[in-house]
Amino acid sequence: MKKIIIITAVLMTMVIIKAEGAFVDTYWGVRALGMGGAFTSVANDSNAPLYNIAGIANAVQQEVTLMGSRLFTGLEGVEIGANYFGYIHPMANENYGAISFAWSSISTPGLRREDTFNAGYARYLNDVMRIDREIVNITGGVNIKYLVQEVKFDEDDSDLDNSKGAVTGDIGILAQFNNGISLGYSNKYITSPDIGFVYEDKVSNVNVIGISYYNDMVPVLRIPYFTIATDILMRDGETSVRVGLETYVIEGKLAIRAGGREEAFDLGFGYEFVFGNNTKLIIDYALELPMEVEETMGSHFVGLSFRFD
Amino acid sequence: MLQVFYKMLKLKMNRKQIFLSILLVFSVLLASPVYMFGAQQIVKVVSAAASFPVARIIHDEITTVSSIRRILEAKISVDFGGYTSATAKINYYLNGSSESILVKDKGAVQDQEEFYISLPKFDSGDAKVDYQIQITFKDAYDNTSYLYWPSSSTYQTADIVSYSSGVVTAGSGGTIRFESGNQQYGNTEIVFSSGTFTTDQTITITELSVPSLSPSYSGSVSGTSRMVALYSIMPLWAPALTIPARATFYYGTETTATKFDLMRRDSETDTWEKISDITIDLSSKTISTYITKAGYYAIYTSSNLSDNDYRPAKRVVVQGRAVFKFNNLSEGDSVKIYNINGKRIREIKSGDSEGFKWDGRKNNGSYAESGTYIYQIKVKDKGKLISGTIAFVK
Repeated sequence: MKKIIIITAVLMTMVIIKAEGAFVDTYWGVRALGMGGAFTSVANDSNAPLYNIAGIANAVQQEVTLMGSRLFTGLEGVEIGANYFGYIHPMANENYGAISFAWSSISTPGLRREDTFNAGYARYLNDVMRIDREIVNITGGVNIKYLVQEVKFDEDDSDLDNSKGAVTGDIGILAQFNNGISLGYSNKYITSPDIGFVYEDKVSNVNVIGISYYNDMVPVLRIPYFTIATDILMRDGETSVRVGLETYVIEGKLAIRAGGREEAFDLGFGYEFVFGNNTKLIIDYALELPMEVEETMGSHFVGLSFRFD
Repeated sequence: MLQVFYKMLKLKMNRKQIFLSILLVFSVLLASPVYMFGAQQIVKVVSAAASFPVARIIHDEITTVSSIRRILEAKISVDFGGYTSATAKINYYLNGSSESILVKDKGAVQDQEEFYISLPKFDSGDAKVDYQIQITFKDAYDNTSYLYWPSSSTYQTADIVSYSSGVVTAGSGGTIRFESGNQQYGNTEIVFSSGTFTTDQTITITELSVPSLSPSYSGSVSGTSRMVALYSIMPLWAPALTIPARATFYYGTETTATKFDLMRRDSETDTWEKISDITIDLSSKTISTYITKAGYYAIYTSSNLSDNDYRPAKRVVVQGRAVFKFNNLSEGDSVKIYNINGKRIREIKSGDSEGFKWDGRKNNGSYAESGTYIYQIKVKDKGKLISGTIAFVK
């Protein structure tokens, strides 16, 4: 336990680089979005590569997910789409951990887009840290990312290149205690690479601390498979909080989610279809309603995930 | 050289003659640097001469300022000569008071710089302004020198007036120009061709307060339009000109509108009629057309605006290179900028000093991160919300 505290303290005291760059962290993974983006300490599916890479080590099956979306619908003149693809491959031998590949993209046709390509690796750390997995399951991971932003400049700026790319990485750690509490920490864009076209434009380093609680059946309230989570996100010296809830009903097949952050709140659901013993198809939907943007019918996200051996 | 001295001795020249001869020889040698130092030294001599600071101010005098606009904005071009920096200011007298404002502080080494200096808006009671341009130059060694326009002891007088008159001759025509006093933009003028009139005519262009005439009008101008400029061209002449005169009307800097209607008031029916064939020059803030009749001419912001007329024409701005300009907005309108997460980072209102422009800064004054942003323009008169996307990058 001491070691966990020390590692967490070290990670939390890492310098937060003051920078204002692109690649604002948002809009990835339908399940995570349904929980308001509070997913750093949950991170147990193919959304993990973008929230907390350490979470992929807990995957027991291969999983692939696809997400499509339309942001700020109902606003004429606004056409923004966010897409995500994620894949987790757990090694046959648990000691070797798991690998993941992911791609995320947010684009406005004819204007600008951001793409992120991720390759991640994670494994459990109990053997290294000599901590009993029956008490707490600790995983750690690293993510190598290639970021690229493309801008369609007009004639005035035709002297500039249309795209700019950079390599960076994330690190993550996840501790799941046997009492249902999980702690997660993710340090993203750890090198703060420069992706400026004219001036230095460093991608902001992001530190996220997450805590969540899971219970198969919440006492008194009788809520099954219940998760409550919160993320504290620090970026550019600003701190924001995300909270999320999830419960599974109808024999654990229908997930109902809710969450939010300062500028939006989210609702979502997912349904799990089981084929045979070990193959599952999951359909997820999330709706995000911005609090400040006017006259929008919200952002809509649809996801399709497939789990198999 | 030795031969010259030998001849001097042989000719038995006196001391004066010898001195003059030596002086002549050295003068010839100094004028022939190739002979003494070779070609490389010539370049040094020439470059040394060229680096001698010769700075100057280029400015066309402003003689009138519109009493409606009450803005004097001077176009100034400065040759730096060999100086490395310059600070410009206008000294001016207004109703006996003397004030100076620091308007330009340069730090760059440039051969020539062209810029505009604007004085604070005059009060409605001011009748004239006397101004003088002063440039303070500094060289690389921080030595200071001053240059004045028109001179260190004189001032240029600009009368603050509402009209301009001139004679259009029957033989050669003429141009009547009412100068706004703002050299960044255009003036109001009418160009009459030769033979327009059979006898010489004195024509007066007067700029009137808006709206000093009844705002009732006919035609396509709706209640959401606003009059932004009003001129009278007098005297009325009849019949209508057979050779149309080219008229240009300045509409001022107060509006962000990009579409306008030019109206003429018919003196017989006392109604406003729209002139269909006009040319709008947004860079000079003028509207041009051909006229055949004198009378009152008014410029209205157009009511026939689409959503795109409000949107910024430039959708991608690189920090420091340009700004997003939202058009056709006025008092009571607003623009809100949101980041991709839907968080409002900037609100621009009609009272803001920069007008309806966004340079990429957040409400706290720091630059926003590179990214895609959503704007929402609220047009009060139309009760309308116009949304769109823009990109700000660094």
